[in-house]
Amino acid sequence: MPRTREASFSDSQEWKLIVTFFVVSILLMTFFLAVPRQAMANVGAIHTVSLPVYSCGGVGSNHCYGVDDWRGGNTGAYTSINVVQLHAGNGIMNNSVWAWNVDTKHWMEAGYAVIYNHNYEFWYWAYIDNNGTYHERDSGAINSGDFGNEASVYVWQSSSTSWQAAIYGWVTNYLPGSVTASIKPNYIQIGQELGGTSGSSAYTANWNYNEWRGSNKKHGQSDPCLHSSPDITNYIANAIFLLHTIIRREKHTQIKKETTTL
Amino acid sequence: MKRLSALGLILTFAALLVAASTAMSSQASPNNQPPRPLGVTNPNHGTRPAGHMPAIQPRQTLVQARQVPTFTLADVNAYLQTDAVAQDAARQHLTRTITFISAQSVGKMINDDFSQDAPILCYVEFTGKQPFTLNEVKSPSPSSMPRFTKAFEVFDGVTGDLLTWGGMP
Repeated sequence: MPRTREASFSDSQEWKLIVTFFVVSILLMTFFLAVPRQAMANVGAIHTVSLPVYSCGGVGSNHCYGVDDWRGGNTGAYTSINVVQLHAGNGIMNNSVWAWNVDTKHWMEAGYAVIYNHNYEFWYWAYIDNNGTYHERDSGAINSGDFGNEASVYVWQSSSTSWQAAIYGWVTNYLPGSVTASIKPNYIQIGQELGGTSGSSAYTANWNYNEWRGSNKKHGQSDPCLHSSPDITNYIANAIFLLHTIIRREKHTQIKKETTTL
Repeated sequence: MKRLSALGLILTFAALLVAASTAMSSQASPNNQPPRPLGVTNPNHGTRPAGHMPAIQPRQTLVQARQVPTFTLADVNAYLQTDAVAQDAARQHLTRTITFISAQSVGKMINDDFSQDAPILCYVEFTGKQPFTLNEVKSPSPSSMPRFTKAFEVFDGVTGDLLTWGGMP
């Protein structure tokens, strides 16, 4: 009969094992606590990407975009954007959400922006009315306490002939009221727009908790409640649950987007 | 002793899991922002209006005299030297006209509502001999960038703030 050998530890060995385990545990805990801080810092404090030369607007050239979009009829959109520093260079830059119709070229958008002749960022919204007239309203300066936090940005159809926008930063808001417009969006787009030719840079921002609003009567036209996640799953072609988008501009006019599911 | 060590291991694992989940949740919801939209409502703390974009500086003498507008044509021209839309228009040699006009009239002209603003507004219009674009306009794509025959800026007659701006096809 082969002899079976039962593993056993003495008390001193056991204590050594326990102490070793505690040391490893403390190291792991330190790691877990440190990682989120690094990740949060990435949102608005560390990375800035600057472009040396580009052709993104001015007479005769187009703006550049780093965007994600969803196709399909909707009556509004919601997103939560990190408020970060944007430097317009010699043009404009904005982090925004758009609800637009690609066929009629009518849209409503909202977000925050900067322009070359102002040394501050501001909330804004803009739209094309039924006559094809472009309207934009710009706020006063975003408060320093808005930076490093997220801004809730909504655009939605408030009646069959009117649209509305609302922006809630951490400290300030911009609630410009209802406007007359009969936009029938078949696209929602989120991301960054750049106009100009030199000198811009931007800190990384995320567009979180992106949602769309439909004409489902369960919600009612007067009910601003946005669709919940399962509806998004049906709506987005790739069945993305919650979209977490990082827009990153790279060298020259190239704009790269990274999309991951949460 | 073996029971003691097993208990210690279990407790340590539990502490580790709690610490990790706390850290992960603080990352997912920074600054305790509400993670889901609850319709168009304020966040769970008060915010204050950011107001309009400051533009033309009112003259104190006119403010004290309670006159409207509180600034002059010269003040508007001086401000437009630093205004991005006006400078873009100047580069394209657009014609500029400045008028002080009732809020109601401006509302009809550009299909907007100024009932919450001053009764007299400053309306600045830029016109071109052919359709033009403004680099300051934001749009969802290059193909949707509108072309205008007229562009405008509207300033509050009391505060001098920029109330709105835009362009007509």
